[in-house]
Amino acid sequence: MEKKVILLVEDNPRDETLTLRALKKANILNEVIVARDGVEALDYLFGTGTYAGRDTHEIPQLVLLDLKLPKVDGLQVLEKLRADKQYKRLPVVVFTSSSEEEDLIKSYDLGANSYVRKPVDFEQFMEATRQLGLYWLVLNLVASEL
Amino acid sequence: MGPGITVQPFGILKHMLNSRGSFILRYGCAVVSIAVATYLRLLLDPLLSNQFPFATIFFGVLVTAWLGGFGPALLASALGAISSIYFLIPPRASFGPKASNQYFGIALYLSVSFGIAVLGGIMRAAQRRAEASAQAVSHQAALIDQTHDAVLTCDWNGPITFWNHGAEQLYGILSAQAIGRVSHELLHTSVPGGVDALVKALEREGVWEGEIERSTGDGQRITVETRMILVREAARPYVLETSRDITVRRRTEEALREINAQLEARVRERTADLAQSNASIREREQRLAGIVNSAMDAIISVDSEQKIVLFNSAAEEMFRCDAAGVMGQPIDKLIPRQFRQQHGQRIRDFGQTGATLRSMRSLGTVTGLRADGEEFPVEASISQVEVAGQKVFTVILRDVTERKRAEEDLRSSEAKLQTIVENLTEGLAVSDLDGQLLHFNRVALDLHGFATLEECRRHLSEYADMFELSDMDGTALPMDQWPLARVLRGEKLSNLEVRIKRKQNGWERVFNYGGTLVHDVGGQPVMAVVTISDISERSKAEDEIRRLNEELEMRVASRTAQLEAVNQELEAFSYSVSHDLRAPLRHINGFSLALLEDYAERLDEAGQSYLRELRGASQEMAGLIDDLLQLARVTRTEMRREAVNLSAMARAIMNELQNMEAERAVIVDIAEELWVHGDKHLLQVMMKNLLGNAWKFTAKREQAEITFGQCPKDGEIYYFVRDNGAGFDMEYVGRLFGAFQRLHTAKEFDGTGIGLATVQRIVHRHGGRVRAEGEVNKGAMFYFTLADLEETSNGEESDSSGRR
Repeated sequence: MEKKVILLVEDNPRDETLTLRALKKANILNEVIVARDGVEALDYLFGTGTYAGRDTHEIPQLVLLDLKLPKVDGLQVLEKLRADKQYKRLPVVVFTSSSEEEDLIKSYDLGANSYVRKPVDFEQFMEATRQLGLYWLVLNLVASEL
Repeated sequence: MGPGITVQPFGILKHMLNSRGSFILRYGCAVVSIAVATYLRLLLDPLLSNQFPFATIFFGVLVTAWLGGFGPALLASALGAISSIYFLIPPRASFGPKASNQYFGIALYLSVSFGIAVLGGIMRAAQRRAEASAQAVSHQAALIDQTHDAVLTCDWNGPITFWNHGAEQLYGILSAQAIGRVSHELLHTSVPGGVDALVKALEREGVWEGEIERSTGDGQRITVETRMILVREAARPYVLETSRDITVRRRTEEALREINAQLEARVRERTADLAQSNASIREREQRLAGIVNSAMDAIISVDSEQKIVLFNSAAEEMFRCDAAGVMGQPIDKLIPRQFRQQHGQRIRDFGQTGATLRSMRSLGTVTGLRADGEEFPVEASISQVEVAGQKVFTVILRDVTERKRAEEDLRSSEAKLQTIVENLTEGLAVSDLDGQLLHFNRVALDLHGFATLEECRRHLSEYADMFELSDMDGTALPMDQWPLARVLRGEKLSNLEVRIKRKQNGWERVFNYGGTLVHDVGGQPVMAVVTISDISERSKAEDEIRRLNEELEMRVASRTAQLEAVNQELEAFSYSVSHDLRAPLRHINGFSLALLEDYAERLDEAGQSYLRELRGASQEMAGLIDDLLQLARVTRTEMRREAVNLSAMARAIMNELQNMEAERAVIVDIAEELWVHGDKHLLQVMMKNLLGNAWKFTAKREQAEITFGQCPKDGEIYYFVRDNGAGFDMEYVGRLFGAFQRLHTAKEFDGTGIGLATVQRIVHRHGGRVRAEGEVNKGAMFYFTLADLEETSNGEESDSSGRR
C-alpha cells in the first residue's frame, strides 16, 4: 500500500521539530509535508503558489492543522478545504494549544474531524501524537475519493 | 136524546103567557075561551039541540088548562058550568031548576073539567118546569156559548152533539161542521198514552182530566186542557167535555218557567255575586285591618269627642300600652300635659277647616307621651272622615326619635367631614356628574388662585377660559382629556401629572391629580372627586434629576465603551495567553524531554535532575496559566442561569476523580437531589475545584471521607463540601480565598493557589457567600450559598435551595 502523506500545518518551528520527533518515536513513517502558514497549506492542497504544478491528485492521508497561523489561520484553511469536493472528507485533526471553547466549536462547525490540544508535557504530547497517528492512519477508514 | 132546544111559533105566545105579568091574560083567556066555547056550542045547536051542552066547554077548559094552567082552568070550568047552565042547559037563559039528569051531567062535567083543570095545572106546571128548565137550559146554553172554553158533548162512542161558541173559536170549526163528527177524528186528538187509553180511562172512571193535543181547523196543533165527564145516567150516555186552549198558557208557562229559571239563575248569580262581594268586602276589611295592624306607623282614630276608637298594634308598641286599655279614652292621655290644649285646638280647627269629606294635613313633628311617662318626638299627619254625620279623625304617627338622633349624628359627622376636607394638605374638588364644580377645599382654592368659594363654582367648560392644561411633554390637553373630564367618564385617576398654566397671571405649575367617581349604596355614581397637589417643586427636581441622569447615562455609556474596549483587549490577551504562552512552555518541556531521552548517557545524575526540574517548572507554569485563564473566564463570561442538579454534578466529578486514581478508597457521601439555580459551567468549575481539593487533601488519609450536602445555618441554606483531610489552621482562613495564596507548600500538596479564588469568584457572581472552616489534620469544610435573588410571585426572596 502506498504510504500517504501527512500534511502538518504548523507555524512554530519548535513545535514542528517536536511533532516530527514524536511521529518518529511513534513509528509513523509517512512522509510529512510541513506548511508553515495557511497560504502554504492551501498552496499545497490546491497546487498553487509555491506548490504550483504539484499533482493535486496526490492528497494527504491526514492533516494536522494548527489554528494560530500567520496570514491565513487554521480555521480559514479548514473552511477552504472543506469547500472543495476533493478535500471534503479529508481527515483533519485540529492540533492546537488553544483550549478556547469558541475554537473548538468553530472547528467542528467547519468540519474538523477531531480537536486535540497540544499538552505542555511532552510525554503526553508524544503519546497524543502517537495515538493520533495510530488512529487516523491505521485504524480509521477513510472514504476514498476520486 | 137530550133536551133539544127548538123554537116553536107558539112559543112566543106561551112565553107571553108564562111571563109574570100574565095573570090577567091567563084568567082572561079562561073567560074568553068559555065565551068562545059557549058561542060555538050555540052554533052547534042545530046539530045537537040540547044534547051534550058541555061539549065545547070541555075544549074551552082544555084550552084554558093548557094555556093558563090550573087556576084559569078552574075558573074556566066554573065559568063554563055557569055559562052552560045559563046558556046551554034548558031552560036556556036562566038559572032556574034544571032536569035532574042535567045535574048529573053538570056534576060529571064539573068533575071532568076539574080533572082537566088539574091535568092542565099539572101540564102547565110541567110545562112551566119544562120551560123553566128549557130556559135554564137555554140560559146555560147561552152561558156555555158565552164562555171562552170549548164545550162540547158527544154521544158515547158517537158523534158530537153539541159544539159551543168557544169550541168554534178554539178549534176554528163551525158548529154546523162539527156536529155529527167524531171528536177525536175531527180534531186529530193526540194524547200521551193514546186516545184509546183515554177512552178506557173515561169509561172506567167516568172522568178524565188532562192535556191533550188537537189540530185546529186550519191545521195548527194546539194543546188543550180538557175535562171529560161521562154521563151515564142519561138515556143515552154522553160525554161532556170542556177544553181550554192552553197552548198559549203552556207557552206562557214555559216562558215563565224559563224566565223563572233565568230568574233563578240570575238570583243565584246575584246571590253568588253578593256572597262574593260580601266575601271581598270582608277580605278587604280584613286586609285593611291587616294593613292597619301591620303598619309600622301608629294609626289612631278618634271620634268627634276625641275618644280613641282605633289603636293599631304599632300604636301599642309606640305608646307601650294595650289597645284595650286606651279604647274609649280621650287622646289627651297620649299627649304631654303642656301640649294638650294646643293639640285639642288644632283638632278642632282642623275639623272646622276640613270642608271636604276627607282631608289630610301634616301636623309636623309633635311630642307624644308613652305609657311609662317618656316623652318622645313623633311625626304626625291627620285626616278626617265623615261617617254618618260623625267626624272621625285619624292620626298617623311615626316615632322619629331614632331619626332625630340619626339626623344629629349626620350633622355632626358632616361637620367632621367638612373639617377634614378643609384641612387636607391636598386640594380637593367636588363636582356633580355634569361637570358643575360644587366645592373646592381651601388648598384647592389656593392652588387655583381663587379667593372665594364662589369663584370655583362654575362648570368645567368655563375653566378652559382661565387655565391651560398640557401633559408633561408640553402637548396641550383638550377639554375632554382634562382630569375631571376623564373622571366623569368613569376613569380612576392616580398620580396624573399635568402642567397647568393660569391664563391671566401666567403662572405655571405642575399638579398631580387623582380622582374617582363616588357612588351611592346602590352603586350609582353621584359625584366626582378630584385630588390635586402642587408638585411644581418636585417636578423641577425630577427634571433636574432626569437631566443629570441623562448626563450620567452618557458618561456611563462612554465609560462602558471604554471598558468594553478594554475588555476586548483583555479577551484578545487571554486568547493569546492561552495559545502563545503555552507554546514556549511546551517547547521547553519537549526539548528537555528530548534531551533526557536522547542524550541521557551524556548527562550525569545532576544534569538529568536539572532537566527534570526544568520540565516540572514548565508544567507548573502551564497549570498556573490554565488556572489564571479559568479565573479570567469565570469573571468574564455571561451567566446563564438554569436549574442545575448539584448532586448529580458532584457525583460525576467524584466518579471521574476515582477513575483517574482507581487505587484510592474514598468514602463519598453525596446528598441527593440538591438543585440550584445557576450557571452550569461556572458551577461545574466550582464543584471541580472544591471536590478536587477535597480529593487532593485527603490523599494521605487511609480512610478518606468526602461529603457533599446542605445544611441550614444562620437561617439560610448552605451547601457544603467536607473532607477529613489535611485541614488548615483557622488563623489563616482570611488568606484562603486570595489568589495565589497557599497554606501548604508545594511539597505537601501541589496546587496553584488559584482554585479557591475561582470558587469565591463564582459564588460571588451567583450572589452568594462562601465560608471555610478547618482544623489542622482534622479536615476542612467549605460551605456556600447561591442566593439567586429569584423572586417568588408574592415578592419574597427565595434562594437557590428550592428543591424541585
